[in-house]
Amino acid sequence: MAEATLIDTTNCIGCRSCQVSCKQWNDLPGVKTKAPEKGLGFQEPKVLSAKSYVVVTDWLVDDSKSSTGFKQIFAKRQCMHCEDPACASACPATALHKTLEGPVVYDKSRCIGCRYCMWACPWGVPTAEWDSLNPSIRKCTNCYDRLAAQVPETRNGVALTAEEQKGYGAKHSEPACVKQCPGGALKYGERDALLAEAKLRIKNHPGKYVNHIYGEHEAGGTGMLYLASAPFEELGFPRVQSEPIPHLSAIALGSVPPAVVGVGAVLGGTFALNKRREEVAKAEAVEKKVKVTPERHTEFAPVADKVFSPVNKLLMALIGFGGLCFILRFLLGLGHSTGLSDTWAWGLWIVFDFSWIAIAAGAFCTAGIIYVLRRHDLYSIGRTAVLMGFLSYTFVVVTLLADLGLPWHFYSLAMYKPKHSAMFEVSWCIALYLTVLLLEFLPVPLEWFGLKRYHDLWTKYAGAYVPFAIALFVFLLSRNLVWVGLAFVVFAVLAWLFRTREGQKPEPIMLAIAAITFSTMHQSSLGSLYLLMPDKLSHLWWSPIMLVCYFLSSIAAGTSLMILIEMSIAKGYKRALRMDQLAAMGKISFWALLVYLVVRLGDVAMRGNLGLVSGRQGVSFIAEIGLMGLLSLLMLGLSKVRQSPRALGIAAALVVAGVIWNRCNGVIYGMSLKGPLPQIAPLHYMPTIIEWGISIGMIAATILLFKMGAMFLPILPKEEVVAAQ
Amino acid sequence: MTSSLAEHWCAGSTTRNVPWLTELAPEPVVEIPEKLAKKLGIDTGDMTKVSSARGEITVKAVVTKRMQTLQINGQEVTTVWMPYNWGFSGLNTGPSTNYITIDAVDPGAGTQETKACLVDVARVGRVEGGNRG
Repeated sequence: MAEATLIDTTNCIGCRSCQVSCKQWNDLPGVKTKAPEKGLGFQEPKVLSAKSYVVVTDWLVDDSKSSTGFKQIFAKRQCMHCEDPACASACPATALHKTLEGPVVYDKSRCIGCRYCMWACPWGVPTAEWDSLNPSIRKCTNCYDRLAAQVPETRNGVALTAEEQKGYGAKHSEPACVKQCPGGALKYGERDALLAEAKLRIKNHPGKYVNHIYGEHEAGGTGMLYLASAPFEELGFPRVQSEPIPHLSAIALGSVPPAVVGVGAVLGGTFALNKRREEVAKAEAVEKKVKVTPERHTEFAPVADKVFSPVNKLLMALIGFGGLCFILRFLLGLGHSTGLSDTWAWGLWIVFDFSWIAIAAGAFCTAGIIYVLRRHDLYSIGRTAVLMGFLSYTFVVVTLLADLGLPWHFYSLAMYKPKHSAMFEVSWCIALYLTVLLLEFLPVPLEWFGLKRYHDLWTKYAGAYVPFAIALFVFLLSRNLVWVGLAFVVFAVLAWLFRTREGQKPEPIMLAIAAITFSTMHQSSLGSLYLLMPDKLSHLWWSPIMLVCYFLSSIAAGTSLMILIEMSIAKGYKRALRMDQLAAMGKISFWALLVYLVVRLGDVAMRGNLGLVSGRQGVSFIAEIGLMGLLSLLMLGLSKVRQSPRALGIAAALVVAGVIWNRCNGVIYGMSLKGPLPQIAPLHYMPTIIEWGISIGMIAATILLFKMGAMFLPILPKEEVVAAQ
Repeated sequence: MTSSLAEHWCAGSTTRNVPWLTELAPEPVVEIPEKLAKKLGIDTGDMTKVSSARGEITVKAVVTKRMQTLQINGQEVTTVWMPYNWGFSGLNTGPSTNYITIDAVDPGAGTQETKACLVDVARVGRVEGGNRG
């Protein structure tokens, strides 16, 4: 049974010896503090940090019954040791986990430094060692290391009697703060027993306490139970939902394995149906002796370009600066190289990652459209989409290496079994998707360099790789062999059905299906990341179905970005625009955007949150939905716009900007962060030049490598080359 | 009125060298009742000059409800409070309150007359940059 601490604030005399004994036991340094601040009383340090796990808050609360008109209440604040902790649910490497004994503890050797726990905790408890080059997450562990310690057999060389040992054991197996407390404000023991005692105290002293045990129901129950003589809102305790915070993530992540199987089956079915239709149409045409125009096979060829053109030189300079920033990030540490803090655990890099992944959805959309929906007319943009997707995801991963506090612990992601961490899902999904993108792209260089042997190997095994990748993914997410077996069988059957037969032109249909499956999972899971923070993100953005919105918006953004990329390629290489294709993409983008906006606005309206449209967040919302969403929807809906290069370009740019703005709002503008516990001093966030340098360098690298790819490999369609001059 | 703090002992020469204690009580302050603070235009965090016939020191003000204007013999008596645990050396330093207290001892017991004295309080300015520690 879980242990807990009962904190009776009416007994607290404010001596703060718990703060000192905590620092003593955990060997934490003193913090440089300054005199009291207005409204805070004698409370030092003001907030928790990696150097302080406990702070006693000091409140003067109005009290008409007192002769002075007020009463002074001290409240010791620290980690709440939730029964079902949001931080542990967030952790992709189980570095934070709830022990059977009760404390929520941290294991640095597993931590990758993603800081998702800091975002997830509703009290702002986990803090990071920003000054360190090897940073940990720090928080109260309820002295788990004391509980596990052995009782000594001797003292100063003299053997202890059984009685003495018992006494020692009892004192030792308490947290340091509880042992130290001279006022009887802290009591450690079985949670159920303490809860009963708390209720008894309230019953026996009806005038003394408010009838509320903070922690009995908060966040599904916590390991810290508070009694107080004033309402907890007046003592700086936030209102926290009584449902365990990881509840929604558990549902979302739990539905991943069935979703994988479902998406695979649907895609396989759709493909088979479309393929059959094609064959029937062909057979009918032969029967009716209608002359069919033979399918045009797009040929691809490298484009003529100079390696050291002025544009490329600029890109190289940006990459160089980005590389320098990357090195500085590791020389200086996160705290000194970024504007991040215990308030803003995530910043610009995460905005970039979220936006980038969303707009890089063009790769899986295009693959799906071409191969599953059999739109051969769009075949010519396939290679562009895949290479762009592969490069984008690669540099997202590189950005993450800079963003993680402990990237050299990356192997943790493969070693432990997090129960329902969206971060874990996203990490694995992106890693596996990268392998699929690589496989999708491989035939291009293999063919070009005439490596026929390897190309044959690819033809034979690329499809067979998919069931294994999917099975691995489902295993990691479910640890349930039934789901693994089911997923493997479904994808293996598809791989067998859609295998390349003798004399057929190999088509990466299985890879396309895998790409869509993985993308569906991680695009939506990026939305699931927010499910742990209904208290922080404005409900104009937060929603239990945020994952659906993230997935749908990524399709709109991805297809629109493909239009923009095609346009930039045409402009950059002075090639003719293939407006039919772009218009077709525009139409797909329109439908995706329409579905997204209906779901998004319907969701906000149905949950009655349109009233939140006010202030700066309201402006952000209106800009996102109105200007960039509805306006571009209107534009893309008109066939006239879709046929006009300029108008289509503007519409597509608006869609992309809208979705990027949506991701910005999710990470920055929609957030109301209150800072570390006791959530009184939120800091501002301003990205540093190093953060910008790395992000911009990554974009430059993507563009440059794409240009190099187009120059040395057949990425762009051949027939389009038109001498514009 | 002066007194010691729980966190520091006497002039603080030992306790003000302990980081964990220094953190809890980082600098000397003068605690001023709300009524007086309002009259003098002093806010928490303002630098405030406390002076007596013997000297003057400048410390930050803490405006509080904890000290209230007393009614003694039909007269309003306002008190301010200062801790006396600071001095010129240690991890954190500050002016010693005993610059303004009375340098005399009880002739019989030898107890010093440093617990209470008459002072004047005036706002001198504000430290910019806030107090966030």
